[in-house]
Amino acid sequence: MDMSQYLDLFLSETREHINNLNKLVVTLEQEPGNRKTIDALFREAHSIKGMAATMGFDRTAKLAHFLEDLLDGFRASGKVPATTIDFLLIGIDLLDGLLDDLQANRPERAVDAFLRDHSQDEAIPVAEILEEPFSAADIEDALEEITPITEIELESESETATGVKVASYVPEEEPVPEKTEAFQILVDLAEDTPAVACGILVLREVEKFGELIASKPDMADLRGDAPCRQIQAWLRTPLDKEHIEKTLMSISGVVRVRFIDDRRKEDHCRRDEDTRTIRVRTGLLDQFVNLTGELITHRHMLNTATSSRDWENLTQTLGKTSRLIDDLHHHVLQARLMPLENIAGRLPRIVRDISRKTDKKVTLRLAGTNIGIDRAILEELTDPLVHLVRNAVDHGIEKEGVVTVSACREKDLVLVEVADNGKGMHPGLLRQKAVDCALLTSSQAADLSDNDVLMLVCRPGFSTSEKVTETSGRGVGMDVVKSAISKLGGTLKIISAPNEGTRFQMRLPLSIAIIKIVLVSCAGHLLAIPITRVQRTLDIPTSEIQGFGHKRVFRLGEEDVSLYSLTAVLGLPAVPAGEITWVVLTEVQGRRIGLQVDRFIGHREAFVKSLGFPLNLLTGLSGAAIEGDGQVVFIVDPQSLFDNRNFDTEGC
Amino acid sequence: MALTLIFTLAEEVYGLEIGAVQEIIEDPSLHYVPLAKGVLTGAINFHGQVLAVIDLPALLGFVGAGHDHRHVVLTPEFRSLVLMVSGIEKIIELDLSGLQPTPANTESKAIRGVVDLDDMMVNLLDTDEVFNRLENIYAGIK
Repeated sequence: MDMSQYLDLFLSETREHINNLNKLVVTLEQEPGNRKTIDALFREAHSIKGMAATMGFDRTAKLAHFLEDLLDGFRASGKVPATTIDFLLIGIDLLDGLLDDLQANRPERAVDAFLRDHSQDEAIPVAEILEEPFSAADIEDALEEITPITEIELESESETATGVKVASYVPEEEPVPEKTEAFQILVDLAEDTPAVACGILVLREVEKFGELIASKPDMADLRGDAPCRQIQAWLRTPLDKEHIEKTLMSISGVVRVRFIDDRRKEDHCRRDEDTRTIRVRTGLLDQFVNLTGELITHRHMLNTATSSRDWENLTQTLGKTSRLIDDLHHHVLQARLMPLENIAGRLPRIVRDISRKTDKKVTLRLAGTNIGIDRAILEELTDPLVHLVRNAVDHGIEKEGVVTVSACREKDLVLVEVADNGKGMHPGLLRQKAVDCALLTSSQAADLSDNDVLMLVCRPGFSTSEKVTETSGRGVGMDVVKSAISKLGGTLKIISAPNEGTRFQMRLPLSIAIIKIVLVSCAGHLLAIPITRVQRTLDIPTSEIQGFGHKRVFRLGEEDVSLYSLTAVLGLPAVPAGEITWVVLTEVQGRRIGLQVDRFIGHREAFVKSLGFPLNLLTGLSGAAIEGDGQVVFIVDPQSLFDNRNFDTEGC
Repeated sequence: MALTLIFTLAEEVYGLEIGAVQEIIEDPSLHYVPLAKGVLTGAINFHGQVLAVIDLPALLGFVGAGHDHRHVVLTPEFRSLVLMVSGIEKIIELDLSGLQPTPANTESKAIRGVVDLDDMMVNLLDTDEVFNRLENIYAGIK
């Protein structure tokens, strides 16, 4: 049976199990005698073993089996010795490494050192196992164990992690001339032929063409009466395909002969494709089927109403159809949601490891992690979240404390917060630091509000840490976090005061596929701004706008808000404002600004089209929407539009 | 032999293997791209996909070249974008065995090699070079 189609599924499920293993081991460390945890650990290892064995990944299965046995022993004794925790974690990391190998299509790395060392009951440093390079013997071993499907891929000289080239794997001793092509032949057999006899004939013929690398079923399977309707064979031959096809078609019972060649190109395309998987409740799938069924009925009703010119019926059915589409849209979005737990699950392990390394006592609390977030957002959120948690442990907490990761809904946004109860940040010190780093002049620093000062930590090259540690404090990171969040259409806010801890708040859209946009026009061009970026839309009498040199300002309640012309920012010819100036109120770099536009067109929901090359390179564009008439409207993100602009020296 | 699309950039004759071409489109409506400068002349709605339209003669330094009303849409395996050219000529079988190296002093013209066709010289377009050129231009814009 061809298992390669299940590889993605295997990888994603096993990663989940590994995530659980990590979490459970950390729990176990805190409560060593917890029976339930030990049982749960055992079940996780057991599942991995079963799946890996089915897939034919021997080393992964062997390691999982070993861990399972180990845990089974603890199940009997009812507790886990403290010394074993580290060992279990090393084993889990090794499992994770094996999955990396499988995902990258390389042979599985060696596990024997790990298994052997444990039997001597010696503690081994993590690095030694994880970074152990492949030896030539390991690769040979692995090659022998590999199933025929991977063999073909190895022939394109895959490189292993250590840079060792895996040479062409040829089962026979004789070197094969380079000219010969390797490809896969699929031979379909007719329903009513005696499959076995016909199959054997086909294989015999194929063997004559050149070198038969492998086949499915092979001769032994066929002799064992394995039923088959299709024969797959991997062949190396100098003969041309026409000849092969003609010869095979002449065997009675053969209906079709197909060739699959140029594996490299095929692989290349497949890797580019989105092969990530998501699991969907079958109940939800049933709802899809029902909704699509109803839509089909409605299409029929619409056709009937149109042909009979029954306008009243047409209007009614259109109304119902639009409700059905809303419903379908809602359900499709549901299917894309994944719980935050999927990425928050790995945090306990991370916090444990850093607090060990930095010799701190840190408790991690998770709250609201069952909240659903769009899969695409969740994937991009992983790194920022991990970084913020590392930061909190490394810089926020001094000796002992609590880091809390919580999530909740806030209108149509999700608020994900990483908070620590450490020493907090001192705006005065930050100002001084910014001046020392020559990021700001002292007068600029004095002008900044405390809120803006805190955002300085997101400037590249700015670090609050006195010393650089292994985990963070190199002055990189927060800028990456901030730009990752803003790419997702979210915002980052920092709340902190001396001795009151620090809270990093990420506000993210629930879904990025469909967003609400505000349509505006500038110099005759339509533009869209995500509604999550718009605080308000205003119409201000032009006479109330004041000019200070090259800056323009208007009064909003108690606040003076700077006004910039979106038309000018985009480099379009200015259109003089009439008596009313139309303004989109938005937030850029933590401060509120007004963007002047020529006209508001309206707001609506839009399906965001991602941008291809080279549009994706343009700063300030986050996607495009297509209007009902086919017009393309680009979505402008004010935040990134202003990212590299200096407010104080440029006026629009 | 390889099926090749023959087109012109100003007076120069270029060829592009047909495998790289998804479609030839006529007079598409060009839409405004904010902040786009230079050779990125706009975007089109191509069956619901938003693709950039590139002025190829301008990118390769052919000054004052004309433009055909037909544009070349590249296949997604290359890069999904649309190339404007000076003229679309024909699709022919081209014998690539006679591929000659790129002549000197044509580094800026994105040529992968030259093939004789009747009494013409056909420059094979180096698409990688075109993409690199675009990347250099637009990755730098802030």
